[in-house]
Amino acid sequence: MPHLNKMNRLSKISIFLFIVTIYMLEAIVFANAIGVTPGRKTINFEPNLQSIVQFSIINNEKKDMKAVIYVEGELNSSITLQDYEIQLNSNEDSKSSSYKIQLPNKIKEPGIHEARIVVREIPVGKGATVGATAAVVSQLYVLVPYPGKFAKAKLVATDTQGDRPINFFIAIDNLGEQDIANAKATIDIFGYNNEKITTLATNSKTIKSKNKEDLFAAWNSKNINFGKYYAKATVTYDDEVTDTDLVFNVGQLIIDILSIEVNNFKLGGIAKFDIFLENKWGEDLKNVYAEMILNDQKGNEIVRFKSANEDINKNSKNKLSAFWDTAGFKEGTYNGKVVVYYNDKSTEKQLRAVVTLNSIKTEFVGVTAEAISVGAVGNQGILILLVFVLVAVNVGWFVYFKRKVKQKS
Amino acid sequence: MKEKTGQKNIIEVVLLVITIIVILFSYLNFSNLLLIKKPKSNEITYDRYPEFLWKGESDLYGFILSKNPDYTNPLINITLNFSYYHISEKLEFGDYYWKIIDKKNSYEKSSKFTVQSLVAVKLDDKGNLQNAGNTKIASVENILATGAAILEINQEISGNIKNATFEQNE
Repeated sequence: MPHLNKMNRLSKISIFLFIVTIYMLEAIVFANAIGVTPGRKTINFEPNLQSIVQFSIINNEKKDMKAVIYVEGELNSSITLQDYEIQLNSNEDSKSSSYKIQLPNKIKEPGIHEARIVVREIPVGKGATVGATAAVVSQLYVLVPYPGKFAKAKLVATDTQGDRPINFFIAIDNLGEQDIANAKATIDIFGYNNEKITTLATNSKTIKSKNKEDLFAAWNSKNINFGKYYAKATVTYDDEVTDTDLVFNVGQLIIDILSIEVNNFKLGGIAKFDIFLENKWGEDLKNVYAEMILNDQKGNEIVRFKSANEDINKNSKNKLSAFWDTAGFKEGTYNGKVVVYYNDKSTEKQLRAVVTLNSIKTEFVGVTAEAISVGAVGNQGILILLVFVLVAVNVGWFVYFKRKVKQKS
Repeated sequence: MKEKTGQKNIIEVVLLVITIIVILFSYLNFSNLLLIKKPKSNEITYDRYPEFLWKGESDLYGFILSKNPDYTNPLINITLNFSYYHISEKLEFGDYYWKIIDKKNSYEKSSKFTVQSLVAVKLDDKGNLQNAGNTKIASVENILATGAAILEINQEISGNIKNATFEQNE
């Protein structure tokens, strides 16, 4: 009977170990990750143009990585790569490469002509999934000018917090063969119920062929209500007209970061940061995510981690979860910040995280905390000390020479 | 006579050294009144919400961010009480010029940086894919039943994705 009990216990341990192993295997995710920068390079067409364009392959997971590089697209025969295969070690953040452009004598069709520099990761090492690979593209746009006058416009609004005038910029891209003598625009602004609120006039500019210029207008929005607005810009360039529009929000605070909590934490393990948010906006927000950044005592960034994207309903509270692998980190106080991104905007709060063996306590601090901690190391003290030392040395020399002269005499 | 000349020479050397020290000290001291720390001059950043950090002795600064080197029609023009500013609205890709004005001591420093696009993805062994770059991306192939996948920054799609190629989509 004791023999049977022993067998029973052994089989229980075996089952437990089996479950743990399966769980651990499940938890190990062999991620492929690759990046390329810049994502796009735009040049103007010139007959027989020769040029070299630099780009970098980013090892954003900091692992041993291999990638193949090839060219696709209409202009692929105009591109010669410097490297067709590239290898990155886990200690390399990125590796530079380049391609040579040799454009033809003529491209008939005006507009954008493209070549795509594709960087495709080749899975290497243990656990690599055969067949599943990610690739990223660095685009080359070659702009062939349109006959006569032709411009494209893009409207952007900045400083939309509502406490200062809102700035409107219209980026005008002269894609025509001819210069534009006079480009100007009017911007009509409409409210939530499509009622026209105001019309703004921009400055005017001369734009040379294949060049870009910004037109500008400011809207004094001090007494307007927070909310969603629609702007339509009508751009007149010489005898031609084009338009561009934009939906934008005016408001000081859309998302408020309420608090951050970390529960069930053990130093060396994975810390789950629950970031509690409130959407104070009257509309649902899509793809909201948070990023935590922690610095050491000198203000150097030591870790940065993001939450997944979540949608947050209008006028409601929600939480985002971000995970920090604390293996290799020590107990201590870390300054940093949490930034929440949504609708091309961000909300930030400076924080202090006190990490102990079994807890992380976070508190929000004033905006000056980081500025002070980073900027605290000054040269002034060293300089004053240096001056005193030099003056002392000179006085010493003076006394020495004086004594020597006296001795001689 | 010889003794007097020697003393004179010593005094001259001492005065010269002190003058050099004073000039050096003044130069270093004045140049340190306003120091740009972040983004560094001509830095290429992938952060579309960059933070600006400088060091100064004042408690009143003017901060100007512009797309033009002559700072006409700036994107941001504000007064701050501390040496830090974080952009809360996403910047377009391109070159930017920024200037700090120490309003107390009437010094200013300007600098330039570039926001560059980064197309990056993460793909795990279950076929879940995440946009890890700083720009909206689209798949070249039709990897979803509805067509090409378009992903916002940091967005993730799940579901057996293989051999996907992504490019900038903004």
